[in-house]
Amino acid sequence: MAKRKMSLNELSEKVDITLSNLSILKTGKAKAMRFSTLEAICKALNCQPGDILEYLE
Amino acid sequence: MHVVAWVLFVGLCIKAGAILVSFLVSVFVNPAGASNLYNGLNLSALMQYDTGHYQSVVLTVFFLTAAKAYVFYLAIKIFQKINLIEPFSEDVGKLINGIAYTTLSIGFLSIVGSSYAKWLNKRAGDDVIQGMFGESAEFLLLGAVIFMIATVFHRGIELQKENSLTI
Repeated sequence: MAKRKMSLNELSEKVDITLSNLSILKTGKAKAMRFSTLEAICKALNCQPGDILEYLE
Repeated sequence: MHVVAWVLFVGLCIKAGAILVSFLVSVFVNPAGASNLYNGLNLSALMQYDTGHYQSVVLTVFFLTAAKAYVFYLAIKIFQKINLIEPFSEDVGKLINGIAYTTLSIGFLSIVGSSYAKWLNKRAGDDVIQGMFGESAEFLLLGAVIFMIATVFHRGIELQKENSLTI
């Protein structure tokens, strides 16, 4: 988001997700993510899923 | 259902209140009150046999009636709190658990009361006492069924939480 210079508000409008849900995603509190949401975020940020997902132990 | 629960709750409260007041009158004011405790319930023979047994029988009946009223009070609370858009809430889960435990307690208390009444019947020879604790097995079964429903409901709460955190 920082690389694309896009705010949370702007992204929420583009992917049609509420700000609170985006915040849940950003803070890592989400239990699961729909493919449609992942696709919409990747489309809005023009990136690959691997760019926004990270595996941590 | 909400109205039915209210009607049953008020009815059971009136019954419990009437039993308690008649009992207190028969113990402290006029022993003749034992001949018509509630709706023609005559326990004067038992009172003449032994006041202690009379008091424990009437108090058991009172607690059973009060517990039944409490079950319907919890049912009214469920009707007030349930939200059909997101039905699986912690509050409703606790209320269903409360109903399950109270119904099981009613079942156990009825069994104890029933055995006590049988034992008393042999000694006091009063047939009226035995008929007062009739539905013990039904309440135990009902409590077990509600307990199973409560367990499924708690799984529903977990699934709903997971679903609301799926974005």
